Amino acid sequence: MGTDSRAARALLARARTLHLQTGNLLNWGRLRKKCPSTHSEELRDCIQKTLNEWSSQISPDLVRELPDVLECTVSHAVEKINPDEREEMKVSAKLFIVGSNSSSTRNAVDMACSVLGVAQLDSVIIASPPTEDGVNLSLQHLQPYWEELENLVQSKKIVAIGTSDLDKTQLEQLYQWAQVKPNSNQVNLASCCVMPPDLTAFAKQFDIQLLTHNDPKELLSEASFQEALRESIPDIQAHEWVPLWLLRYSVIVKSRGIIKSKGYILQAKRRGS
Amino acid sequence: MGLLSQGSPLSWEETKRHADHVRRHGILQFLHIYHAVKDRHKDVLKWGDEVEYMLVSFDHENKKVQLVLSGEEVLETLQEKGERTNPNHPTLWRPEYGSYMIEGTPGQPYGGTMSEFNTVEDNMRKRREEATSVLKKNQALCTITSFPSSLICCRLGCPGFTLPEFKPNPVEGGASKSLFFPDEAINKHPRFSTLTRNIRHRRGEKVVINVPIFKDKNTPSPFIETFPGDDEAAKASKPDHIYMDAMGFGMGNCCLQVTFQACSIAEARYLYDQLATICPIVMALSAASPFYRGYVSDIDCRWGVISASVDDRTREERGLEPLKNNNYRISKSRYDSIDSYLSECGEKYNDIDLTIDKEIYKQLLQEGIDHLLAQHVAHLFIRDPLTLFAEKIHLDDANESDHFENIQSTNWQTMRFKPPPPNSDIGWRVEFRPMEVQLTDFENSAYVVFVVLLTRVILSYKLDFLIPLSKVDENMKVAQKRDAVLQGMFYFRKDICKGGNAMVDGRGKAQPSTEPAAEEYALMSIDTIINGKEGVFPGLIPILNSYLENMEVDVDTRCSILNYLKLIKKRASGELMTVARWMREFIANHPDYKHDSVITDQMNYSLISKCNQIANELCECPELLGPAFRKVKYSGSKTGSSN
Repeated sequence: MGTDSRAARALLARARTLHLQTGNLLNWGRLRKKCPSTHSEELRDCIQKTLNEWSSQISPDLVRELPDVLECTVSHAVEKINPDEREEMKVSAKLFIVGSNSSSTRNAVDMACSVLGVAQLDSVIIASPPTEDGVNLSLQHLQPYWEELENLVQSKKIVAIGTSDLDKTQLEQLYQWAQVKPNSNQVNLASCCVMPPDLTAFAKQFDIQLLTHNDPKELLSEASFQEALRESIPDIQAHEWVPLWLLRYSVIVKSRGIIKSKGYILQAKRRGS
Repeated sequence: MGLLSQGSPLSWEETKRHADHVRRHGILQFLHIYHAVKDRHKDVLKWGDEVEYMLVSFDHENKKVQLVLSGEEVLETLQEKGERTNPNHPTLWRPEYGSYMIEGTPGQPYGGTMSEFNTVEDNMRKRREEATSVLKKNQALCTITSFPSSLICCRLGCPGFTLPEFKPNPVEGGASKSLFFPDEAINKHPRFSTLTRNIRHRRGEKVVINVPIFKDKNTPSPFIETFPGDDEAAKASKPDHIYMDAMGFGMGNCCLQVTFQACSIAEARYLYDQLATICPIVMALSAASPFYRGYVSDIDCRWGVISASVDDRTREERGLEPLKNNNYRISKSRYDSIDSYLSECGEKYNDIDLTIDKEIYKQLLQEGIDHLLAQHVAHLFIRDPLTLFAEKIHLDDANESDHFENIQSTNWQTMRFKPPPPNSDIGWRVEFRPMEVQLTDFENSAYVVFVVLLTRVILSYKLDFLIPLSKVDENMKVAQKRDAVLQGMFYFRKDICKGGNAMVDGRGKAQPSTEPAAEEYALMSIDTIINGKEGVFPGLIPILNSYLENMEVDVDTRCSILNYLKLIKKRASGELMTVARWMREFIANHPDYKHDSVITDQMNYSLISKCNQIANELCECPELLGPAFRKVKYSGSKTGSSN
C-alpha cells in the first residue's frame, strides 16, 4: 500500500481541488469474508481504496502536467447507465454537506449526472447540514441548500427532492416556506417502529413519503477524511485538505428491486488555495 | 398440488400403457413452450406465497381435537364468495391432498416494489379470517406442518383422528390400504386417491415411512410396535422407528412455498441454483414437525416423511433386485432434493450421478437446448405419469401442456424450475419449496419475505452460494434432524462474492477454479450462515441489511421487515425457538406426559388449542415469537401511540 505514493504526493501538493469517485461499488467485491460494516466504515474504506488504486496508476504525463483539479477514480469500476435502460432505473442520491457552501449542491448534482451519464436524477435527499454544537437545525440553515435544490428541480436536473431527519416542526416550516415541496423525509432506522405520531400525521396529510436511512449523524468528518488521506498516501499534508461535500448514489432497477449500481462521489479543497 | 383435471381417472395398468405417450407429448409440449418464450426478457419481479391450512375441530368437553373432513365444501364456499364473485378478490383458494386441507394464495401476485413486502402479512391475515369465517362452531384453521394425531391405541376399529370418524379399511381395492389413514381423509377429487393408489401399485407394495422415535427416559428400548396379522407392516416397520404406511402421512402435511418470476430464463436458472443451496438452511430454520402418528420423533422436519410417502419406485429401481422390468436404478424418490444445477456456473458442481432418459436428452439437444437444461428435463422424464384421465390423453401439443405438467408437477423437488404456461403472459418462474409452515401469519410472512429479499440480494450483489450438489444433499439430511438449527453443521460456501473485482479488495486476483475444491466451502452453523461470524462468513442477514440500506423503503415497511429479520436472526442464534423445539417443550412439560414419547389425545388437544390461540393472537408466546412482538405490533398500528 502506498508503495508508489511519490507521484500522488506531488500532485496533491499542487492541486486545489480533489474529486474522488468510487465507481460502482458492486464491482468491487467488498463483501468478501468481512461482514458488511457501517456506512462510516464503508465510506472510509472506499476513500482509502480509491486513493490507493488511483495513486498506483498515475501516468508520468499527469505528474508533468500538475493539474489544478485531480480526478481520483477507480477507473475499471466506473459504470455509466445504458441510455436504453434509463427508463427502467431509479437514480437516487443523498447529499451530505461537510464544509458549508451552498454552491456545493449544484456541483454535486452535476458531477453525479456526469459520472452516471444521465441528464437527470430522479431523487435527491439532502442530509441536514452540520450546525455548531448545541445549535438546533433551523429553517435558516437549510434554506440556502434548498433554494439550490429548487433551482435544480426547475432546470429539470432533479425530479424530486427530500430531507433527512427533520422533525415535524422542521418539516412543517420547510414545507410552508418552500416553493418546491419536499417529497420525502428520511428517518433513522432505529425509529421506524416508533414513529412520532405528529410527524406521521403531517407527512400523510401533505403526501410526504417517510423513508428510512441508517446513516450516522456525521457520515464524514474533516478529521476522518484527513486520516484516510494520510493512511493511503503517507507524508502528505493531509490537514490542508477539507472535504466540501459527499454524495452517495444508487441506481435501482425499479420493477425488480435490484441494485444496479452504488457509489460515492466526494469533493475536497486544499485550504487557502 | 398441480393441476386438477375433471374426468375418469385411469388405473395404474392403463396409465402405464400410456406412459410413453405422455412423455413423448410432454416433451413436445415443453419444446413448443421453450421455442416460443426462450428469449423472453425484462420480465418484472412478481411473486407469491402459498400457505397450506388444516381444518380442525375441538371437542372441549372431551378434550379432543380432530381433523375435519370438509375441505371440499369449505373450498367451494370460499371460491364462490371470493374469486367467482369478484375476479379481483384478494385471496385464492385451492384444494390440497387431505380432505381436511385447503391452500390459500394472494389473489394477485405481489410486485417488485419494497412496499409490497408490507402487504404479505395483511393478506395472510385476510386469508385466515376469510376461511375461519366459513367454519362451523368449535372449528379452526391451523397452520401446522404435521398433525401430531393420536392413533397409538389402535390398529383397527379405534376412534380416529378425523371428523366424521372413519375406520381405516386396508383392502387392495382402496387407495392407501393403510392400517392408520382412512381413504376418507383424502381429498374427494379423483386425482388424489388415484395418485395414492397408482403410487402404491407402481411401487408394488404400500409405501413405507419409518421415522426414528425420540428416546425419552421412559420410552421402551428397543421401541417395537406390533401389527398382528399384517405381514406387510411387520416386514416394513423397523425397531426404534414410528412406522407409517400411507401417502397421507406425507402429502397430508402442510408447507409454505414461494414462487417468483425471473426477468429471463437465464435469471431463473441462476436463482434456481443459488436457492437450491439455501433450501436445507431455511428448512432447518423453519423446522415445525416433530410429531408423527401420536409419537415424539427424533426429526424436526417433514421432508423425508413426504419423500417416503410418495416413493413410487419399484424394488428394481431402488436397487433391491436386479433390473428386469424397469429401465433404471433411481437413487431418490420423486419427492426429494434437486439432482442437477441449471446455470453454467453450476455445471462444475454437478457431482451427483444423474439418471436420464437418453432418448429424450438427445432429442432436446437436437432441438437446440443446451446440455444442462436438456439433462434436467431428461431427468424429470425418467418418471412415469401417476394419474391420467381418459378424456385428456390426446392433446394439442402446441397449445396445451398437461402432459409436460403431469411429469413436472409430480417431481416434487426442493426447487422447481417452471416454464411459462403456453399462450400466457407469465414469464419463467422458480419455486422455493422446502419450508415448513409456521403457526402465525407473522412467522410465515417473515420466512417468505426473507427468501424473496434474499433473491434480490443475490441478484444485486451477484452472490454465489454454489457448492458441490452432493454436499447440499448432505445438508438436507442434517437439516431434518432434531434441533439441527442449533446443533447441525452445514457445508456452505466461504467466498460468496464472485461478481467483484478482487484487485480493489487488495487481495490479489481470486481464481476459484484453481483453488482446491475443498477450500471453497466449510462446515458452518446456521447461526454463522445467517448472522455471520467475524473472519469466517459475512452472514446473510448483515448482507440483507446492507441491501436494504441502499433501497428506498418507507418506515412502515421497514419496521415490518425489521421484525421479520429479527425473528429469523433469533431463530438462527437460538434466542428464539423453532416451532419444532417449542412443540417438544410444550409436550415435555405437559402434566400428562409420561416421558415415554407418547402423545395422548388430551395432550394433542392442549397443544393444538395453544397453537390456535397463538395463531389468533389470543395469547403471547415470547419464546417462539420474541417478547416485544405484540408491543411492536401495536405501536406500529395505525392508531399507534407514542410509546
